[in-house]
Amino acid sequence: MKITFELNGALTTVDSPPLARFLDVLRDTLGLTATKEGCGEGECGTCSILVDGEVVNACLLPAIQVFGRSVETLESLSDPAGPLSKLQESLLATDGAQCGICTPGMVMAGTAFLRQLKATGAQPCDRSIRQAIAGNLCRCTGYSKIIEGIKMAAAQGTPQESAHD
Amino acid sequence: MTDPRKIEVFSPETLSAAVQVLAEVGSEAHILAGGTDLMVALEKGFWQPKGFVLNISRIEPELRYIRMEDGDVCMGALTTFADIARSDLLNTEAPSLVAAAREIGAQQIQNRATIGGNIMNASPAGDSMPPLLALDARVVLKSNEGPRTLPLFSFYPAYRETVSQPSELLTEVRIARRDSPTQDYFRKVAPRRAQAISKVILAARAWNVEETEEGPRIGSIRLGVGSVAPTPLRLFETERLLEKAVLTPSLMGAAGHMLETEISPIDDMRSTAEYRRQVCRRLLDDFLSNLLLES
Amino acid sequence: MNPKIVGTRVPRDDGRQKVTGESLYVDDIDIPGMIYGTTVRSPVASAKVVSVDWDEGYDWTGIVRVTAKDIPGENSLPLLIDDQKILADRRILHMHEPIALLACSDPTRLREARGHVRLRYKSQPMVSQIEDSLEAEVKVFGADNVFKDIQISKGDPATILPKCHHRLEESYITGHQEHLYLEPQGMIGAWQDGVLTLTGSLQCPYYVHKAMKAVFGLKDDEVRVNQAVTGGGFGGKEEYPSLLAAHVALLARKSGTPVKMVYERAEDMCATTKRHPSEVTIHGGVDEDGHLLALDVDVVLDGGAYCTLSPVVLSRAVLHAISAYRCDHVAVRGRVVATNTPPNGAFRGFGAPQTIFAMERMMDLIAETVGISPAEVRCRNHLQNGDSTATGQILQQGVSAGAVLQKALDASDFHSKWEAYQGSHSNRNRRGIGIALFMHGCGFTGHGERDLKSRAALRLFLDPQGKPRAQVLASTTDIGQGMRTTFRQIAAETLGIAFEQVELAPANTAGVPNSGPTVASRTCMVVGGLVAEAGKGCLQELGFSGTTSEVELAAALASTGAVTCEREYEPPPGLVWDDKNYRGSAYPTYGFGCTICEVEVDAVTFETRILDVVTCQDVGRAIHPSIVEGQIEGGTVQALGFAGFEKVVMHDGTMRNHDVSNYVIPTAADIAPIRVLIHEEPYSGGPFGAKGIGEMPMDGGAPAYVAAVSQAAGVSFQQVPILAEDVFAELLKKKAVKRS
Repeated sequence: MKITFELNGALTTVDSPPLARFLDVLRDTLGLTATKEGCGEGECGTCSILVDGEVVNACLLPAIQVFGRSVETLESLSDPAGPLSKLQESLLATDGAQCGICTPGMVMAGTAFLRQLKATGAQPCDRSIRQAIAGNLCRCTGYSKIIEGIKMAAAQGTPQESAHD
Repeated sequence: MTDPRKIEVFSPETLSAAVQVLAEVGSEAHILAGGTDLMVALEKGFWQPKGFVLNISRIEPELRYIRMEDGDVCMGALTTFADIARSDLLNTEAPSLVAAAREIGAQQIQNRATIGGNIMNASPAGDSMPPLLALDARVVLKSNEGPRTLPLFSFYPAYRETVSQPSELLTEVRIARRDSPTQDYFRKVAPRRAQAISKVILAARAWNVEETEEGPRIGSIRLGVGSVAPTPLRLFETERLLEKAVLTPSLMGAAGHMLETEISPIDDMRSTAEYRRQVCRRLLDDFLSNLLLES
Repeated sequence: MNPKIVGTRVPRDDGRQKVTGESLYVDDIDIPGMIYGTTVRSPVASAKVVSVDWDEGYDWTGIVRVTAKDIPGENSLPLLIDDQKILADRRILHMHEPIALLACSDPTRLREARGHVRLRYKSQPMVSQIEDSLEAEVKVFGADNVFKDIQISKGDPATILPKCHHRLEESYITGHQEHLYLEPQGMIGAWQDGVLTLTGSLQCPYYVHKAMKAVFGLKDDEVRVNQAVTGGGFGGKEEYPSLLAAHVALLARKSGTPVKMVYERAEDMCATTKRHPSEVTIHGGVDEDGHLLALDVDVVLDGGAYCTLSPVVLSRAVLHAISAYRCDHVAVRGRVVATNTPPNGAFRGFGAPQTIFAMERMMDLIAETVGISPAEVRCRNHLQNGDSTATGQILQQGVSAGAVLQKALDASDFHSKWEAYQGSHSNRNRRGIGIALFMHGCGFTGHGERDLKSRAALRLFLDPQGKPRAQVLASTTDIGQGMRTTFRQIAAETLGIAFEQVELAPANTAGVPNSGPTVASRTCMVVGGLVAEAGKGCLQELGFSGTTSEVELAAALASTGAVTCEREYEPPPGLVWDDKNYRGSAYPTYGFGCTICEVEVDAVTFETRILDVVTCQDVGRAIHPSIVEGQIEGGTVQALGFAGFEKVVMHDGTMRNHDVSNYVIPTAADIAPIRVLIHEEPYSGGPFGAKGIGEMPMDGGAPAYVAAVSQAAGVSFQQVPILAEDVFAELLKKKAVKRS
């Protein structure tokens, strides 16, 4: 069936089985492979994307439910060879990515968290950052450098404007 | 076998349309809300839909709300756990439910999973049912013939079953606004601090705990437990022992003993029956001790 | 030398691609005409195969089917002893053993078709654990089920032990551990003009290369292995990818199209290798002050159904059995045995975490017996310069055990906390603090490095702008550990050019020399060392004795042309190893580390919360401090997972909790910040003094955590993992909690 939604700012229509995992729509139908699959059961968070600004697991999202929604994937945060978002820059600076397979999901969860901070004017602490990325498993870093990166990005201000806008 | 993803999905735009569909072909319908349980079951092949899927996500405008109505706090079935976690009203009226919501999965799950989905999935390990049982929640089921309201404690006749009829849609959860002081408790015991399936849950609410010379006297009490029986369970007998009684160490012992007779935990890959039984009892003890300390 | 790049936190080579999602992992790669493969697996742990048939009522059109009959040569996967079948043909030795392969352009049909393969078999008795294997009533391997038996002996423990003031005996158990790299195993295979090309998630391109040459009878240049960006390995992608490569190659050969196979998570957890479970018994003898006099250690590892790398894992296990302590009279016996469970294999630490866990718990028992603190017993016994190891290797220099111990003790405030927590136990939440001192041999064991003859090269040339540029040629893979960055730093520093002027050739067997596998904490120290040597060689060829200005370098390159220098590993002088008797220099050098963990045990639920973790580790030289910290933080958390979260529920030979919900690794919310202290005791044989650091962080977390939980709970634990259920059961046994 035809499903129309906003994808990274552009109106998009895909032809997909209604219960197809939106993860497969992104990766296979649309060729957007930044969003990864780690477990297929909503536990690891590697497929995290934003729907109407909220972080969700794309592997648990039936395609039909993105109808009329606004979807953001990691691809929306930077252009090839263009400047990175503040969170991406920070994670680069703190060495927050090792094998990198959890990184796209971490960036999306972190971006949602930073936007929330901005909206509420709250200050992040170690505990709140840990809660914010508790749905994103990482097997390489022990999380410290990812948390440092989110902290650094928060200290620098707004995450939702990537560096180029 | 056809690809289950290709199964027909119907997405009504209104509640009345959804209820109409259920009236006609409810027995063939599988209801899809936030998808956090169904999509896993589909992926793993545990769920093979035989009829069609009724996607109720588009009735969100009618079914996603937290509001006061006739002295009740009412939550639409499509209210997400993120909605619950950030609700000031619920934080005041139902702190144990808010605590549960904050521990369900992690942010990604809380943003999608709905209270209606959690109730209808009927898992004995479901996180929201113990607090809802302790809060004396009622559920509203709507069919073509109108709504019926029933207490949540009567909702689960057996493992993974509900009394909901094929023609009915769970539309709302109601909690009476508290008219007197309460003490609330929620504790989920799980193998880790997020993204975890519970091993034991105890939620409790005590009303009108009064000081007496012999000790605190509980006006009334509700106890809801999870992962220690085939269904989410309210501990009626234990409540009866404690209600209107003065809390003493020997009463606490008797209550713990009663709790053990009411629950029926099992050994599985997540925990042991013995651990679940004893820890469930200790959680009750913890709650009651708090009452003692606070008095 | 005035290092400018080594020791700094340059931006990670592949950082940008990773934070933008541009990195291409196996599952992100699409090749025209490619179809998908899957594996049909055994539903039984031990059986004789009667037949493998295809459901005749099923429409197999468009589905490629492969069984053992399609294997062109020997049906065995070349590794140490070639016992593992590519596809089971006559005998099934473990659950989920591959029996047939299918490929199809439609992944949904593929899943469906899997259910239409009919395996007929006769069940056989099975061996599910170490005890049964040792009894050898049922034979899984050879006459006695023992894959390998190793003995180490030093002094005369048999005579000394009975005479010791205190004699202690205890047994220790560790369970399976699943790697849970977040990218499952995956491989793409394609044949063109008789050349097999494989692109996969893997650690060791040349392992796959060697195996495929043997399986398909190909020449060196008829197999090409590329590493795709790899989403974590931890040893799990050391030897296993060779099997996957054989499978996709068989399917691709039969279908005539490229075939991609990416495991589902459950399949990966059920079928692939895990850390070897262990049972270690230690008899220890000490004097009245707790000085170690004699040790007798018995190590048994569960190897699973096939040999894989188990003998080598056992080797590292026994060589780390005495860990960082001085003891003159030592006997160590190690055996790795066969069971009807999926084969166990390489996992970060490679046997050492198991024996170090046992030895560290024994040190705690000694402290308790003698009446001194766990810190004091370690201060009295740790290795120092001039001491000898169990194999008689004299450690002349660089023994940093005392230094790392002291730094960790100070940073954690161990003494006062330990004293405070020794006090009376109230009913409230109780705290404990535990310590582990450990060492880890860097690089391959014994003559491993000498025999490998690893090679790496550097090519120095002028770019079109007339600037000198260098390319590193090595088959070492970046699996997240940051090797691409580290090698570029080493090359840039050696050549005296900017980090940006160094690049890496792709890890492709057609283009780079065999640098040996990416394992054993050898990448930076051994291969990085070759890169540095190759750099020096390039400068020499251009007539320089050391670094020079960029202008001079450019001028020399302009007149000479590009230069390439390759270096082969040469063991440091004086390294002598007797593999028959396990005597001599087991490793060229050792890293030392100390981890201290503080926890709180919930008085109501027996759950453990980690409050603080301090770890000090000697890395020789931190080429890139962030990368080193990242290794230590990540390895420590993996070790804490091993200790307190990760339990493989193995039942009837199958992992029951084969999903990420029920096999529980720590989330960010479960972990306290890991406080890392880097200690640098340079090793002259490593580049800029660097030692290995990949595995050592895995060694200390478990014993430190278990010691802390033991102190908090007031009962001593001798196994990992310890879950809340275990704390509860143990307290119940000791009647420290009441059953109602």
